[in-house]
Amino acid sequence: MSELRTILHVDDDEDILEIARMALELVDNFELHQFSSGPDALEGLKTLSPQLLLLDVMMPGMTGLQMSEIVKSDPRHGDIATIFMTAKAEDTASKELLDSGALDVITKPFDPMSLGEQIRTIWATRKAARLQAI
Amino acid sequence: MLRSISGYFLIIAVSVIAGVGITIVNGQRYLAEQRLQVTQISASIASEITKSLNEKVLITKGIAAVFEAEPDLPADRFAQIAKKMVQEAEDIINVAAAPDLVFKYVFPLEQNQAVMGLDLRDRSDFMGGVDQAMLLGETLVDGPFELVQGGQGFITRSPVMYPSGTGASQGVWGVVSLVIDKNRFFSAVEDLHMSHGLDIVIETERGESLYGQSEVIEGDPVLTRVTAPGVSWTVSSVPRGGWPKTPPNFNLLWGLVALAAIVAILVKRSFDWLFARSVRAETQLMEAIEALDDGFALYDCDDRLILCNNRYKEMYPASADAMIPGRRFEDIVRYGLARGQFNAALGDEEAWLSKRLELHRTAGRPMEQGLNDGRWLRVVERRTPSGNTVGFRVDITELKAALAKAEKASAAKTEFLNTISHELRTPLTVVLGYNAFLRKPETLPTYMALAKTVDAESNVALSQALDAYQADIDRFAMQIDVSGQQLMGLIGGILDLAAIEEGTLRLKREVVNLRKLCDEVAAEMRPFADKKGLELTVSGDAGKVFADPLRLKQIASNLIVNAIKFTDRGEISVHLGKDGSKAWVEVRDSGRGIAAADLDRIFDRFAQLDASNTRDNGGVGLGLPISSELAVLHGGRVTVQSIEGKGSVFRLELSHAQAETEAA
Repeated sequence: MSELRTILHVDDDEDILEIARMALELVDNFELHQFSSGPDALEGLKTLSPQLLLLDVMMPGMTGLQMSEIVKSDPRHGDIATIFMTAKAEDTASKELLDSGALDVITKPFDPMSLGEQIRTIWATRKAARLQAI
Repeated sequence: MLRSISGYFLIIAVSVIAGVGITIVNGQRYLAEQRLQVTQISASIASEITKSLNEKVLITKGIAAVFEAEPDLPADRFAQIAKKMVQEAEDIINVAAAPDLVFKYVFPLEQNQAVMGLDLRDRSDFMGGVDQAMLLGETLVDGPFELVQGGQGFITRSPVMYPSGTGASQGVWGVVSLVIDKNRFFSAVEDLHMSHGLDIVIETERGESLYGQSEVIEGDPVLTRVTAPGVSWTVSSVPRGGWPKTPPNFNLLWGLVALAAIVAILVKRSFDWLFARSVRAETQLMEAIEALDDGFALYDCDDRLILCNNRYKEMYPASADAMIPGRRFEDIVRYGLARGQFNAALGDEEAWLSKRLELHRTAGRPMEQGLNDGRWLRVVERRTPSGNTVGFRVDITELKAALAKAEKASAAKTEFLNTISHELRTPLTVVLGYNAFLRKPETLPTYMALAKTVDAESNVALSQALDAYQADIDRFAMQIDVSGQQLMGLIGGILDLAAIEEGTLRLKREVVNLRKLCDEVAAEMRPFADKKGLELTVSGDAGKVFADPLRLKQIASNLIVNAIKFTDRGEISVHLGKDGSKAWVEVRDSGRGIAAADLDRIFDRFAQLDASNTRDNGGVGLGLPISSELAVLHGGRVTVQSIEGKGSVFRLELSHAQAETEAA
């Protein structure tokens, strides 16, 4: 299992993009690519090869889940993992996201100081479990 | 009522007719028995008379035989023989012999002297009988006559012929006669008929009465014959007082008829009562069944319809015409099936029917049935102990619509909560996110550049001003963080309560070590306790429970945070233990406590006992209600004991039995 370095983050809220950028680039030294919509991110994926998609769920036009499905259906990106971020309340929503194959769901608001560590932990445990299952 | 009364009249009429018929038959039978009995007695009387006459004839014949053997029999010798032969016959007046028709022998002579020397040829009334006896050569009985001795009597005469071979001329020697006293002769008969209660009359062939009352002839007598040589008499007999009009058991018979009638009336009355009760029960049952808002049908052991109410027919308008008692369930369903009544059957009728009949046969779980008119029925079928099948149909169309509406409303509510959650949390994420960098400015390159510049300038005043400014920023950031976390807690609490209320909150259970969990929570809470100068300790062990660790942490955090909030001095102790199948966590504080009157409502939502608490201590009173609800979801509970001014003990109880099973 390779170390997590490259993350593609999509969120329609500019402030959250900024906070996540500070958290993941300043606090942790991830290589971060950010987009404010799913279509933009899909366009970006043509030239980028991130290890992880960090996707907001409720976005206008294309939800994070829809984008995740599109990415998974592309054989070139078959091994890109996904973590969703959501401010939704419903447990069943989280279940649906996990059932789609996501590593985990991070609930907003998140702590910028520990976001990177949280993602690394998810990456290490869930990724290992998924590889073991395969 | 009229029918019932006419029934009673019929019973009485039949009883009377039967009584009359039985009485007639019984009377005839009794009369026949009586006549037979009288005939037997009468025959007995006739037999006695015949016997007595024949005795007399034999005596006469005997004496005649003596004279035939010895025509010159001496008188004394005759007397000896006669005495010997008649001594026991009280009704014999005398025995006499008349050689050449003149009486020369008489016994007893006493009182019969008038007979001696009597020439029969002088008695024309005797000569007819004498001539007949002579002519026939037989001993004949003749009479009655007025006797020379007085009174009436009968005379037996036997002709005496000279014996053959004697020297005398061939011919008649004479005649032997025996005189019978009529009254004494019949006195023997009198005892006989009197003792049997009969009235009789004895008559000659010519209708001359010899004995008894001539009125007997008028009373439909039994007739018997007395036949002896020269005699042909008739004995007419009737019971004394006439033939009985009624048999002796007449009253008993009518009593029995009356009793039978009474019994029949009572039986009819009982039957009428039972029948009326049965009809009433059936009517009540039918009325009750008809009064039901639900459809009701009863099928017998062969699955044939016994009865159903109109509601049942209304529920199946397409097959109502087929719902005739005696019709098989399958035929009724097929009738509706042919008219497209069952939505689920369309296109695959036979398979649906097969499944439907199987469900009906097993009469098991209830099912829902959609009809082509848009209605939905709940179908419940049950077997009775006698093998019948009871069917209930409940129209759940409105219920289904309400359920769909409720589900839609629930979905809308969930969507609303999600939206609210999203719309509140997103700005909070921004506020708390940026604030996190304010609290740790060293993570910001701009701040680090500023700090580096100030240090390079070696300007003490500038450095102090920057520190002062930084201290303010720290303080503000801290307050923003506290308020933001409170707001998050409130949002989380409202969403949790909504989820509990909806039943959508799902526990993710696993085996949890309670002590470890409490240690973790205490470690997170300790800074807040330290800040208030409170000691926070954890002790004891409660083993493991099968629970959602995040939710248990939420409960423990709520209880400890509350204790810290409402305690100004002293300590907060978390003590764990187990008792039987229960594991428990007690959070004990030395705070202000709760008044007894308020203990009942501390688990109510938004129940901050003192409104000022909200401001002083934060929170809006959702922590305890949520903790309590979460404990209940785990099959446990949260309880409280408190003394105002001394402190409180909140106790979380959970079952650890399941955890042990899961762990094993």
